[in-house]
Amino acid sequence: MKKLKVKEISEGLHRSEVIVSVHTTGGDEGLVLDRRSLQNGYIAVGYPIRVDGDSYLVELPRETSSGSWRVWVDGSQLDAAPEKEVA
Amino acid sequence: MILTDREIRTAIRKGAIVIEPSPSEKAYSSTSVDLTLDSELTIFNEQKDDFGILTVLDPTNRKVDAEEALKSLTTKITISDDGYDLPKNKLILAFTKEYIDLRQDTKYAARVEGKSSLARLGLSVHITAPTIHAGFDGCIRLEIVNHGPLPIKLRHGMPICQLSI
Repeated sequence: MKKLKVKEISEGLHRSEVIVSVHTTGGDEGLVLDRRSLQNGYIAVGYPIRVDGDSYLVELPRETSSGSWRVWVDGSQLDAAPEKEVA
Repeated sequence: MILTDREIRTAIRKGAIVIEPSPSEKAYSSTSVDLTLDSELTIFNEQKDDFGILTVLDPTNRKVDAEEALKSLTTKITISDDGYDLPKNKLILAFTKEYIDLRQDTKYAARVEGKSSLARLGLSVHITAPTIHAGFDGCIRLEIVNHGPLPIKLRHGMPICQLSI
């Protein structure tokens, strides 16, 4: 299980929610999460679905503001040394 | 495959699905469990047509953060003990009181659906986005619209939708 680095932006519409930014290879994407999903600036994303060099395709727990579930991220955004294993 | 009430309860007992606070016995039907309305509502502000210029939302414009736009277009209110009268033809955003966690066993996804007793009055609880994907956790955001002929009173804690898993 991998964790993805995110940056907290602001409170969400509901008191349980937080808005974070995900740094993808295509730019930053806004993502609404339950505050309990956020652990020390990381969220769980399971195992990468695809690997292309040092880019990893991961599935987010919710849809981003622009409607994406899966985003390509740089390996540096994932916790520890990401394995080449895919789901 | 849709879980039966017994299978939902077994999954909760094993920790594969989390629903907090725990639904009452009465909340279960044979293949779903009712969720209740949280006290916090998000109401859209009246949009004024000043000088013939209307604000238009463009969800494909990546420079616009949809959540920030929603915040600027809406006001948060708390449902009082007298309830909130939802006018006809009005969209509001609401949340379930229950927190759902589908991260523990990723073979489970869910669908949030309306309740027929409320649908008969004209109340819908989501707009074409009923799927709660595997890996989701949080309170479920509801897009509530009154399609009926009269205002409908919403009270916090009322059964507002049902979850099939």
